[in-house]
Amino acid sequence: MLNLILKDILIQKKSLAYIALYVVIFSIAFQGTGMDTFIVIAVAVTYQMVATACAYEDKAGSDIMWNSMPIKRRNIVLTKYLSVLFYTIISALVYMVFTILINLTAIPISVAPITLPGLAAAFISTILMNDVYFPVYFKFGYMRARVISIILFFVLFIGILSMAQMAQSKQSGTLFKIFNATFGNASGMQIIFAIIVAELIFTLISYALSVKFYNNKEF
Amino acid sequence: MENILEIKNLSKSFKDFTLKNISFSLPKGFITGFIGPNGSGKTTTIKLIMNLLKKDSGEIKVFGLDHIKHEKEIKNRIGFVYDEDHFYEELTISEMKHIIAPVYDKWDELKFKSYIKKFNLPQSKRIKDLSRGMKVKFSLAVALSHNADMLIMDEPTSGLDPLVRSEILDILYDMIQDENKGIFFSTHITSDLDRIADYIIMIDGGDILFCTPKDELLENHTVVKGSLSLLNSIGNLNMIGTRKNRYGFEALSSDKKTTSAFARAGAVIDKPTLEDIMLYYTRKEHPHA
Repeated sequence: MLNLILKDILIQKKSLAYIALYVVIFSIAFQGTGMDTFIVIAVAVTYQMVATACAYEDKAGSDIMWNSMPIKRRNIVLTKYLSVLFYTIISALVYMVFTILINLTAIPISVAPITLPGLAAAFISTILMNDVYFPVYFKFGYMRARVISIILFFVLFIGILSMAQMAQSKQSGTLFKIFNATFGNASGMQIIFAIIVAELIFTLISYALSVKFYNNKEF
Repeated sequence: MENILEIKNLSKSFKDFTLKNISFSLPKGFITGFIGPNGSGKTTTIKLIMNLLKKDSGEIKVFGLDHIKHEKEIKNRIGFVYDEDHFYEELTISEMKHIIAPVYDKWDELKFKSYIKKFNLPQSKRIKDLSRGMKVKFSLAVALSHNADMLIMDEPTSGLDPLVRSEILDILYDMIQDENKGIFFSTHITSDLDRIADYIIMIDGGDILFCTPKDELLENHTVVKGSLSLLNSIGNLNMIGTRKNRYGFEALSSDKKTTSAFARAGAVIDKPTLEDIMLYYTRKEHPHA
C-alpha cells in the first residue's frame, strides 16, 4: 500500500518546489498576525497535494489500471486517506527546515516554531478537510469534485483565520460562547480527547462512504 | 479441455447499447481472438471480466473461480494490455515499475528486465516521451512479468506499425508455447489473428455470432465471386452476406451445396480471410450497384 502513497508523491515531484514557495509566502504573509502560521501552511500544502494527485489520476485514467490489478478497491481509497497524513508531515518538515534556515541566516522574518498543539490542529484541519472532500471525489470524480475542493479550502482557511482572531482578541463571539458552554469545565486533555474521538468517528464515516461510492463505480 | 475463462448468460445494459446474454469459454493453451466492429461490445465484455463494469446478470468464471469472490487471486494471474495505457506521464519507466511491482505476488524482476532489454525500452525515459509502440511494449512487459496465466488484450495493436505489431505477435506466440496459459485478444485488425489465433469469437451488436476454432471457421466458409447474372440465375441462397456492384457480386457462404452450385455455374471460389468473414457477418447485404 505504501507504493501507492509513494506514487501519489512521485507523480507530483515537479510540484514539490511549489511547497517550499508556499511555506515562504505564507510565513511572510502571516508573520506578526499572532496566529499559528504552520496550521495555515499545512492546510494549503495538503489541499494542493491532494488536488494535484487526484488531477494526475484523472489525466492518466489510472483507475482502470489499478482496478485491473490485484488491489482491493477499499485499499485504493485507504491510501488516499493515509496520504493526507504524509502530506501534513511533508509540510511540517519543509516548514521546520525553513524556520531553521531563517534562524541560521538571521533574515528579518519572524517565524514561529511548530508547537505540539499547532501540529495537532494541523492534522485535525487537514484530515477534516479531506474527510469531506474524498467521498465527493470518489462519488463524482476529480472534475466535478473540484468545486467542492475549492470551497472546502476557503471555508477551512477562513475558519482558521477567524478562530485565530477570536483567540487573539479574546472576544466573546457566538462560536466562543458555544465552545465555552461545551468545554467550559473540561480539562485540556479532555478537550483534546473529545476532538480526537469526534474526528475519528467522522473519518470512519467518511471512509465508509468513500469505499461504498468507489465500490459501485464503473470505469 | 480445461477452460481458463467461462462466461454464461452475461448481460449489461447501457442507455444506447446492450450486451445480450452472451456465453462463451476460452480453452487453456490457446490464443483466442475476439473480433467485431467498433461498438460491438468487445471492450464492454473485457471490462466486465475485469470487474471494471458491473454485470447486470450472468456468470463469469476465470480459472474456474468467480471473478468477484476471488477477484484479487484472479487478477494476480491476469496480465492486461489495453488500447490506451494508463500510466502516469510524468514518471519514468523505472519509477512506474517500482510502483507496480509490489502489487503482484509473483513479480519476476529478471523477466521484466529481460523484456525491457528485448524491447529496447530506456528505463530512465518518461512515459510521455515514449512512442505509442514503446508504451504498448512497456504494458506488455508489465503484463508478462508476474507469471500471469492469462493475458487479456483489448485492441493492443491498433495504431502500431507492422514491425512493432509483428514483434508483439511473436512474443504472444512464445508465451502460448506454455500450454497452461491462455491469451484473449480483442482486435479489429484481423490479420493479426490470421497469423496467431487458434479460436475466434465474433461479437456484433452485443451478440456473440460464433465461437469456433479458426481453422474450422476458415475451412467452412468460402468467398464466391461472379457476375450479377449468375447471382440472379442461382439466387442469393444461404449466403451470409453479399456485396454487389455494377461488375458483379462477391458473397460469403458457409453452405457447401450453395458453393458447389455457384462453382458449377462458373463462379470463382476463394478462401476467405478473417476480415472477409467479419465484414460479411456484420454487413450482411452491402449493395454498391
